[in-house]
This record gives sequence, structure tokens and C-alpha cells, in this order.
Amino acid sequence: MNASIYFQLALFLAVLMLCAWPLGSYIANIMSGEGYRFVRLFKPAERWIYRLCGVDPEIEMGWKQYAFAVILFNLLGVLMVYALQRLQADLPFNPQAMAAVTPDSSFNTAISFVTNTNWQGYTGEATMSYLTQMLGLAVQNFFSAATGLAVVIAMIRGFARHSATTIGNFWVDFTRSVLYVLLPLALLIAVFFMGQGVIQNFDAYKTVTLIEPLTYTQPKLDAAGAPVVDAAGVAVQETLTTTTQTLPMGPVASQEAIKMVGTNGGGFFNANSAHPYENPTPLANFVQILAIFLIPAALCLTFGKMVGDARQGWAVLSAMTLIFVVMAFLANAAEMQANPALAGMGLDQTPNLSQSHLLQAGGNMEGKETRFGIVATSIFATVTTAASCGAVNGMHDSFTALGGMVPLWLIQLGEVVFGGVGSGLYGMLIFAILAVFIAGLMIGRTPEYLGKKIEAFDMKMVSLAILVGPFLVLVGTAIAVMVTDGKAGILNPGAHGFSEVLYAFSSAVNNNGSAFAGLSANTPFYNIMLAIAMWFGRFLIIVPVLAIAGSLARKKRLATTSGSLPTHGPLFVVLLIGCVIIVGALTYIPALALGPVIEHLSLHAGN
Amino acid sequence: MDLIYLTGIILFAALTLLIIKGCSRLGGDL
Repeated sequence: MNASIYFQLALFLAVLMLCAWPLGSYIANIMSGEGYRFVRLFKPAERWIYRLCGVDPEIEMGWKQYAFAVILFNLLGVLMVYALQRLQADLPFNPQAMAAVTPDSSFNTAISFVTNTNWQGYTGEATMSYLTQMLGLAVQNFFSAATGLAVVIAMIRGFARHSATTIGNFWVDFTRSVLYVLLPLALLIAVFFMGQGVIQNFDAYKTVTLIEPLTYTQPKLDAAGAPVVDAAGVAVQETLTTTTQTLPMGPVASQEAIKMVGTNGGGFFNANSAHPYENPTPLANFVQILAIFLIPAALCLTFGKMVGDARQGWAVLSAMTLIFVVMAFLANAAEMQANPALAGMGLDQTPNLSQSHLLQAGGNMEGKETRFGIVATSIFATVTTAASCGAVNGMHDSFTALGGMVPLWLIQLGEVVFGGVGSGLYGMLIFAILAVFIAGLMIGRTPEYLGKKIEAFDMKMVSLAILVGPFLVLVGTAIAVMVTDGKAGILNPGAHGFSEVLYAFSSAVNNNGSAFAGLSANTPFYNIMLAIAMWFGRFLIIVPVLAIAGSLARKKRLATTSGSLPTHGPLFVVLLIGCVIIVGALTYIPALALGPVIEHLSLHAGN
Repeated sequence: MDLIYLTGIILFAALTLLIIKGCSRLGGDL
């Protein structure tokens, strides 16, 4: 452990809290319809959108109507992104003449971006036209985040209102989320990224001459593009020399900003935030992780303000922060360890600080950008998987077995540690209801949360929301490791191959989108299976969340008495963390034992 | 092939709407 992790984490959390505090208050006011001078400037645009779409902003919705609007809107989004990919060859802004994307990949990508997952089975710079990137993917980056924001605001209204039959108007919540929260933040961050060197253009890709020729080895392919194998079945390698390199171009900064602030994570380039055109400097890297946590952290404070007790928001935010900090330390500690397999070969892996520049980082540098190093990569990995972002600045697949287990487990906790825009908080509030229910059982009182009695229907919906994720992850993984098409995509045999499949389904169901890269997932089997996982992982949680919102809004608010469980203090924070960890642990430990745990033991046993 | 995937998308949405109905029958209408 070195001092850098303490410094970087402390600085990150301090700046995060300073930014989240005013933003949380701003979002609460915006979503309640209160005006700022800045907002009043855009009110005509908001009214024009309502008129154009035939929406009456004064009419509120019950939970079922709200849920129906969410599903309908997102269905149209999937159809739109699917059509764009299939027709991109005949549409403008395609200087590289990209062909139409295959049907199964289009299907997967459309659902991936609409559900805020941004799982990418394709290589961005070799597959998508600029029009598809901008009108399809970037637009859904805004819309999917706005959907999450709208849903969590509806849920907060469930707590804040009493004896009400409505939870808001989806179209109004959605429009305000895009217009007043996501667009201004994305604009600010995009301009900052451009200042740091992120590119923003519509140029054709550039071919440049290398300073010196590069010789490299790659598998030899036949005319059909399949690997050539020798008599023993081993892939034949060929050695090539190149003097030129093609540099992909594109409108990257505008997509990069919303990719982070909307917790989307889908990179313009395949290398994502490890690519110098997406994440050029350490400062850009810092702002990227800040942007990921910004809205999820702010929403906790929005929650406190809207329910009339700021301490409630701080309690939830404290629980999230404590889990995150512990996980960041664990990931960093694992990555700082030297690889025992390399030590066995006599390689010196001790940190080398004797030179003017660092020659040996002293830990696991495989798959990491030397520009960022172990600490910034470990923090990025923890942030991107604690939130449901999924952007990466290093290869999670190359982490040590235990270092890789941290992002995997954070995803499996249900993306409630900060989580996605909106989805993180509504997921955590589901656990908060579970926590007060368990506390109620322990002390023999009817459970209450924020003065609302938690009854049978609410607990049925909580159970559904919590169980859907593990069911889809574990059943999906089990199917994939049993059928031929699933096993065909596993490039690393054994425990690590299992981890890759488990990570893929965990990431898809919980709408994260990052990957253990060793899985060949752009096949019809994985494209379809993961699309099912993403859609139902998203909407089978949103539906019960809205049902709970509707149910809570109808209830009367009970007065707080000396018998009420305080939900703003350390005791509740510990109880909430316990619920999240224990439910996550009980659900996934057997699967984790088959993957990263076996891999770790095997590595240290010298296998 | 496109028709199959488009049908799949609509089927997903239809199934989700059925879940809404199922949830309301569990007591969400009360």
C-alpha cells in the first residue's frame, strides 16, 4: 500500500462531495418545478417540446401509467437504434463507408444503449458510422440516464407525498432531466475534455507514417478470415512489419462527456478510456471518475431535500461511500501485489524508484496504461463498477484474480454503491426498505421508513426487485457454460474462463457494460442472451420500483415516535451496509468461489 | 432476419407490460 491511494481517494471524495452538494439541491428544485434564472431561459423550449409531443405537463400519472410510458419510450428507442445501425451504410456522416451492422449485434447494441448498459460486443471505430454514434448511441446515453433520473424522482415522490394517487408525469420528469441536468453538465464536461486533448471532428481516419517501422506477430488468417492452424491444431503465427498507422477520428468529446456523466460507459473507441483520444491526461482521468459519481452522489442529497430531512440523504450517501472506500482499498492492495507466477520465473518485481523515472511499478501492470499506473487504474475500476458506468481505463481481465473480483462483486451487489444515474439510488432505497423490514422483524414492530408503513405489497415488490438480478445472472451464466455456443466464446479455459462468462452476465443484468475482455461475445448466442439479460435486468427492477412508489404515495405519513427506528444515524447506515453486503455475499459467493477464488488459490499454488 | 429481431424487441416490451399488470394484481391497485 502506498500513500498515493490515500491522497487520490481523499482528493476525489472531497471534490465529489463539494460538487454533489449544490447539484443535489439544484436537481431537487428543478424536478419540483421550481425556477432558477438559468432555467427560466429554457422554459419556452420545455413548453415547446410538450406542445410538439402533445403532452399536458399538468396531468400527473399513477404508477402503472408512468411505467407504461417508460416502457413505451424505451421500446421506441430500441427500434430507432436498431434501424440506424442496419441502415447506416445508406445514411450520411459515414466517411469510412462502414457497412450495416449485423442483425444480432444491432439487436444487442440497441438494447445495450437504451438500458444504460453500453455493453459493446463490437469495435466502435471499425463498426459504427459517425451518424450512428451521434444520433443513435450518444442520444441514448442522454435518454437512458434521463429515464433512470425520472424513475428515481418518481420513487422519491412516493416517500415525500401522502394520500396521493399519482407519482408525477414521466414526460415532464424526462424532459427536465435532459434539458436542465444532463445537457448542461455534458456541455461543460465536453468542453473541458476538448481542452485536455479529446478530439471532436468529422474527419476521415488519418494514415500517418511511423517514426520507426514496427514488427509484430499475429495469427495468420485464411481468405475467409478464419485462423490458419497447423497439423497439431495450433494457430499459425505470421510476422509482419508496418511503417504506417491509421488514426481513427470522430466527434469523441461530446460522446465522452455524457458517457461519464450519464454513467453509460460505452466508448467511442474499443480501448475506451485507455485510449489517448478519449482520456488524454491524468487530469482528464480525474474528471472522468468525478463525472461518473457526480449525479448518483447528488441524487442522495436530492432525496434528503425532497423528503424534507437532509440527514436521510446523507445516511444513504455515507453507506455508499463506506462500501466504495473499502472496495477501492481492496482492489488497489490486490493490484499492488507482485504476480507469484512471474516471481517463480526469477523476475524482479520490486518497485524501482532509484531512477529518475519509475522503471518498475512494483505490482501488476499487465493491462494498465502506464500514464495512469496502478492506483489511478484501481480507483477507476472501482468507481466504474460501483457506479453502473462500465467505462474502463485498463483491462479488468488482466487484474489479479482478487483484484478482478472487486469490480465483479461490486457489479453483483446490484449497482447500488452510487450506481447508475437514478438506478443507483432507487436500488439502494430498495435495500433501505429491506433493512427497515429486517429491523422491524428483530424488534417486533411494523416496519416504517420515512413515516411510511412497509406492508406486504411493498415487500413483494422489494423481493422481486432484489431477486430478479441474481436469477438472471446465475441462470444466464449456467446456460452459457453448458451449451456449445456459450463455451465456444470462452478463450481462456478453466476458472478464469468461468469468471469471464460470470462477469459478462453480471455486467449485462446490472447494466454496467464493462467486460472481462477474454470472452468472444460478438456471436448470435451471446448477443441474444446478453440482450435478454440487459432488458429484463433494467425493466424488471424499474417496474417494482414504480409499484412501490405508487403504493407509498397512497399511504398516510405516520408521526415519528420514540419507537420509530431512526434512519438517519450510524446504526441505520451499518444496517443498510449489512443488508447490501450479506444479500450480495449470500447470492454470489458460490459462483465467485468457482471463478476468481479458485484462480487465486491456483496461482499461489504454482499452477 | 430483421423481422425476427424486431419481433423479439416487441416481445420483450410486451412481456414487461404483462409484469406491470401482474404487479398491480398483487395489490398495486389497492
